[in-house]
Amino acid sequence: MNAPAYNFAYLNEQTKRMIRRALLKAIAIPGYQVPFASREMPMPYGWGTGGVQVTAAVLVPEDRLKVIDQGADDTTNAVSIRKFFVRTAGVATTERTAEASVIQTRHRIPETPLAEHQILVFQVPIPEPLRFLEPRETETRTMHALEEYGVMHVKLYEDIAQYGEIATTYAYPAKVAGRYVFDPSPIPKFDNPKLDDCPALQLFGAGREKRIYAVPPYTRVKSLDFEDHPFEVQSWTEPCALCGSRDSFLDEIVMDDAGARMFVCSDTDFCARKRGEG
Amino acid sequence: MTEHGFSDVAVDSAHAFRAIMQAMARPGRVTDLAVRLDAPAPLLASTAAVALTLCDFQTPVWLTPALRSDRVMHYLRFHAGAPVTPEIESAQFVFATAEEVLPAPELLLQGTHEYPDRSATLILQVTGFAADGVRLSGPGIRGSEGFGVAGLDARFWTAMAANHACFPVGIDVIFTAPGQVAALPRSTEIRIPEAV
Amino acid sequence: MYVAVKGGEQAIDAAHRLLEEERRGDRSVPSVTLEQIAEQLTLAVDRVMNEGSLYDRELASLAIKQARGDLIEAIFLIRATRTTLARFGYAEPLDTQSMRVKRRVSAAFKDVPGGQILGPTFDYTHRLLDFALAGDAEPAAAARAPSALRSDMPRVLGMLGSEGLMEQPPADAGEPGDLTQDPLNFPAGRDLRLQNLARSDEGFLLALAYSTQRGYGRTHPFAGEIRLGSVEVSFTPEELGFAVVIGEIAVTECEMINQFTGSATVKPQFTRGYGLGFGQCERKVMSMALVDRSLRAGELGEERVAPAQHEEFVLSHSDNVQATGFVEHLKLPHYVDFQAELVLLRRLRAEVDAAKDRLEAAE
Repeated sequence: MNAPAYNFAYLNEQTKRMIRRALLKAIAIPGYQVPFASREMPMPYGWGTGGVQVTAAVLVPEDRLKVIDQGADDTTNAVSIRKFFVRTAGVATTERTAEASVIQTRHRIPETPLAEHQILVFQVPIPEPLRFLEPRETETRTMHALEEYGVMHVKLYEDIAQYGEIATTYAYPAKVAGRYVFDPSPIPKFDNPKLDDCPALQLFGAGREKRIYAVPPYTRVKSLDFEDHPFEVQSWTEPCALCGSRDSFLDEIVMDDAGARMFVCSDTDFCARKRGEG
Repeated sequence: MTEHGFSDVAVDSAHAFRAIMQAMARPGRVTDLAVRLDAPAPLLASTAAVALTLCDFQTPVWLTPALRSDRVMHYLRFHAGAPVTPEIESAQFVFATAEEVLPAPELLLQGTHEYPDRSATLILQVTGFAADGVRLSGPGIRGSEGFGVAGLDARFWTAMAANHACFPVGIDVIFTAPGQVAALPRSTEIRIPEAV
Repeated sequence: MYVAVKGGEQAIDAAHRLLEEERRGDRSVPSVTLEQIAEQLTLAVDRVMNEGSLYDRELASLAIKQARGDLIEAIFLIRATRTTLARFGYAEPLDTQSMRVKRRVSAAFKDVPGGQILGPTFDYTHRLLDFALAGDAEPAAAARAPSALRSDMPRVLGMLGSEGLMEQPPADAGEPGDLTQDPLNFPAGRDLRLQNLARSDEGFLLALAYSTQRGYGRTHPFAGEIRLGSVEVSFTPEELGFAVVIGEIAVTECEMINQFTGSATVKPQFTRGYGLGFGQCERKVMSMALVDRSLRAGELGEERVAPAQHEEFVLSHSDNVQATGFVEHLKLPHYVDFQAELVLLRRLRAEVDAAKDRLEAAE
């Protein structure tokens, strides 16, 4: 039994063409979820197979790839995906946001602003923003077709009635280019403003759910809100304990058995640069 | 004899796709598409590269009369395995040249409001681009940008403006010129100056 | 001073080496061979080929060994391998009527043309542990049927069809779809539903089928015919233009007979549920046939009231590679989202306290 030699970026060419056609449609119809014949990848569904397929379909050998999970380059799944592309596509990698040409991410958008030449690929678990309000695909598809998003506004309004504010903290729905309500993947709503008018191309891949969608560069992405309850992002009372940043998303670290804690940047590259490292 | 296709399919098509994708993501911005392949005249190498990058046995293609030669059809069948269909309404990719009478966009697959992605893409081969012409705005464009294509008159732009008005259904256009590619997705708003 | 934990890469490498060591187990015990798995764990191999959607006993055996016997993990390995294989085209439909039958039973009739053939089955074995198997004892040679079995075993359901009691399959159902090439859209046709069920997790299908028997969408089933054997696979290469036999595969087929009360336009007649799978997999194809019939509720004008009748529910949750991936992805770090929830929860609780304080101050 001989081990097979894999194609550039693992996928066979027919699969890449199928994904590439879906990507062009996704870019042409911003925020619309294009169905695609997602393949089984050598990592589990739910662990970034959508993002991995999108990255594999857009990569060229000259790319410099950055992979983050929770904002960090050295989280285990980020390490695993990065190694996969080093092995199957032979691309260079980096931890520096500014040096990367393609960035695959799970749950965060880097703090460092992105540039025109960059592509940000999101891993998406549940692409349908209406799914938890209506489980049937046939129904949600009709809602998108009719631009009928009342059910989402009702849900957000019920939050306000119950809690005094909108109680969605991540995967916060937004409207793309004034047409489709979309799920920006489970990024904290802190990151939502970065989606808007971003110079980089943003691609979203949901492997298990077989959907691809996109936000082209310089596209309006408006987080859903109400006039009397405008959208706002998380804030912390203290700065990052390592770099002192007051405008980045902070993770809470439990320090000892007594529950003492500190707050540090979730974006490890941003934090390191701020401290003058690297 | 058949003209040769990509010499390294995986890498050449990856480069070609990256150029096409960047063009689609930035409507009206002319992008370099350097390709190493032969194409049977009148097909440009850049047009052939788009075909080999996007078309295969799952995508019926339709060709305008100028392109519907045995050599071109053989090339597409041999290198892409793409079926050439006589029915424009069943084609996923429609190839045309700007020198001809273009098929009206509404004859092409439009998609539905449930599945707007089930629409055709027009690959329009042109001789070159110009900075002035129409004014484009919308997703992918910072503010607005000027865009002109050699050989296309106001009728084309009027038809494409009507195509945009039907968003999210409608077609997308990829322009190919020697060594270059540009795109006009359905999401782009088109302002036509009086004098075009 | 806190230093962020680094070293994800070394941790992964070390974990993988530990996994390899655990897989090997006690090195004084001989390593299990692929031949042993293929020959002696045949039903595990069949299941992995079925749900892995790839008929290759050698690869399935390797996957089982690599997965340490975890069949869902082995199925996953096979599916991922499948992604990399070139696709040449589609085989001609299998002709299960001309199956070389090893086992064939019908529960609907006492005897049927072609005979009841029990074959290699656990049915009617007493489930008593056989301690002889703990040693090296070889079994006695089995007796075979004295004469060759019919090569055109008639179908039990066909016998009912001649009386008009059995619904007829549509004359031309068109080209079947392929959900591995086009994403599944809803509503799905019966072709795609059957393909989905054939790839489904056996346990999930079994539970759904069982639920229909307990009243969650009853279909009054009879096992019309179950057959196990080998069939030829033919393929028409584009350059030849005619079909050539490229091999033989073992399959199990189940045709279930279900009641149907009739409607304003159709006289009462029996309806079908269908199941087919690689290798010997009776539990799987019987469950498949029951769920297939339940999913036909809409087409047959039956009210959809039970989980097994809901196409989106069944088809969206039947794939164990998808299901295990998403359930197990909860092991991945989620601390960014958790932090977002912590921030919200703390603020909401502070607001409740503040409101209470205001109320007390006012009193």
